[in-house]
Amino acid sequence: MGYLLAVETSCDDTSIAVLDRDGIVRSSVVSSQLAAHAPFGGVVPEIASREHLRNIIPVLDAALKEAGIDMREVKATASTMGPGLLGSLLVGFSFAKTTAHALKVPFYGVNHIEAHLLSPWIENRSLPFPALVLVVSGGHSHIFYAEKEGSYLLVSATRDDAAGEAFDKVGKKLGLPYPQGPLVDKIARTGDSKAYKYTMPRMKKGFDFSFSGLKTSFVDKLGKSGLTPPVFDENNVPGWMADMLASFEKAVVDHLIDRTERAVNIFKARSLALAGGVAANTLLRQRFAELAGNYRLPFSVPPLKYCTDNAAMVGFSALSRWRSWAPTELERDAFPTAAWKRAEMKESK
Amino acid sequence: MKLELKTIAATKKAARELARGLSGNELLLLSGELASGKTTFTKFLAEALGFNPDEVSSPSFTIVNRYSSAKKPLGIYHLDLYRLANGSSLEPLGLEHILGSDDLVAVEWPEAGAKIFERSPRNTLLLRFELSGGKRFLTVERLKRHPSI
Repeated sequence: MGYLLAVETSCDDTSIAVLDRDGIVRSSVVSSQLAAHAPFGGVVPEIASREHLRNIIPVLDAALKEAGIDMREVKATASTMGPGLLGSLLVGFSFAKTTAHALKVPFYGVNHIEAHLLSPWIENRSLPFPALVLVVSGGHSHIFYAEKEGSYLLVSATRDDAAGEAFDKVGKKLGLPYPQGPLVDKIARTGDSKAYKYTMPRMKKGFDFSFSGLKTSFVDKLGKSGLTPPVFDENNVPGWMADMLASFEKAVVDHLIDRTERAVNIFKARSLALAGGVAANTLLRQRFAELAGNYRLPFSVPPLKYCTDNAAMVGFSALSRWRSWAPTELERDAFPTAAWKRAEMKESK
Repeated sequence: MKLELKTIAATKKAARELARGLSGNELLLLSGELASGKTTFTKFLAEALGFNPDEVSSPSFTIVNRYSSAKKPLGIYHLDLYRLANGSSLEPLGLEHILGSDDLVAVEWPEAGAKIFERSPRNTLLLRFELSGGKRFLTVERLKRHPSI
């Protein structure tokens, strides 16, 4: 019957997945580079590329083994083409192209953001189109109007920072270790989100996000408090830090939900979906479910393993092209950034 | 030159004035702590140079953004080394290639690339953004002139 081998190396994680023709994920292996980068307190591009080179064959072997197949059963390959860190992207992209060439099977290049966008459908195929999809991660904050698979209009993008970036930066300001996002989520659960008041970013028109004002306000509040974060100890976080993070998290989530709700009122979608690394955030998941409930719309949030970068979503995103046999030319190059067609910004009110 | 940036309009004005004095192939190092106004300044600078400011967003995650315009032969490279560890090799970013291009290069959190920037023959301006007592300041300092050949 044949399988699709999907590869994702656009940032810090090396991931390979095996999917069958029905889009059932037979295996999805992710090798995180966190341990390699943590001592440096950030991503080191050269380490990232080298780690991908080091990891890719062991990750491949693990993915094939878990799926119970061998290379001869691979009938197509797919890989992220962009956007992402070029040095990282090229490792997985070259690997998948070369594999396709050697096996004489088609190759499918995938847009990383589209892969995130479609990830809510991996385990929820019946979610109806058109859908509004909020894609939020360390590098991206977008709302898309997905008319159907392959046809997307960008409703909203960020004017400055991405949502996950805002969490990472305020976390770092309080001395939290890399990666800060999941820790902010954990610590915020123990704090009082009403302790500090934030003014919502006001945009004259449209649905775009802006997080830099909230970030500035956070830095101001910290400065005015005169408090200094202690050396970080996960089991002994001061109450004021938890309050500060809980209040900031609430402000970011309020803004995300507010923009999404505005879009819901304008674009007549039949469902809502949430995707990307920040979709792992507890408060955002809750509030997103409430929003969908208020508008009586079916919604989908992928399981955590498909929120963070993974190859299963890359394979899933290539599936319909595999079925209709529309391969990507092997001469195509990777791209570091992507542009999207903007939705018309007409707001009645 | 030290300016107080009292309002967002003052930031915009400062960016416009700086833009007027640029020939387009400089290296701008934007240094300053979190939320001191580096990305906002870059947005206004891009606008003053005729680029779409809506395309300008923080490159903290992507590390390198490039802005272009159909009306302009040259573009702007907008870099952000925030996530990079000090002393890490910047070779995979293609930094030498970026500095060797004819585009304007603006770098936020430039500290991790200090050595490479020192070696660059580009005219270099250091823009220091400071947050102090709730006030914002911008200091512009010319680091070097292109050696006359």
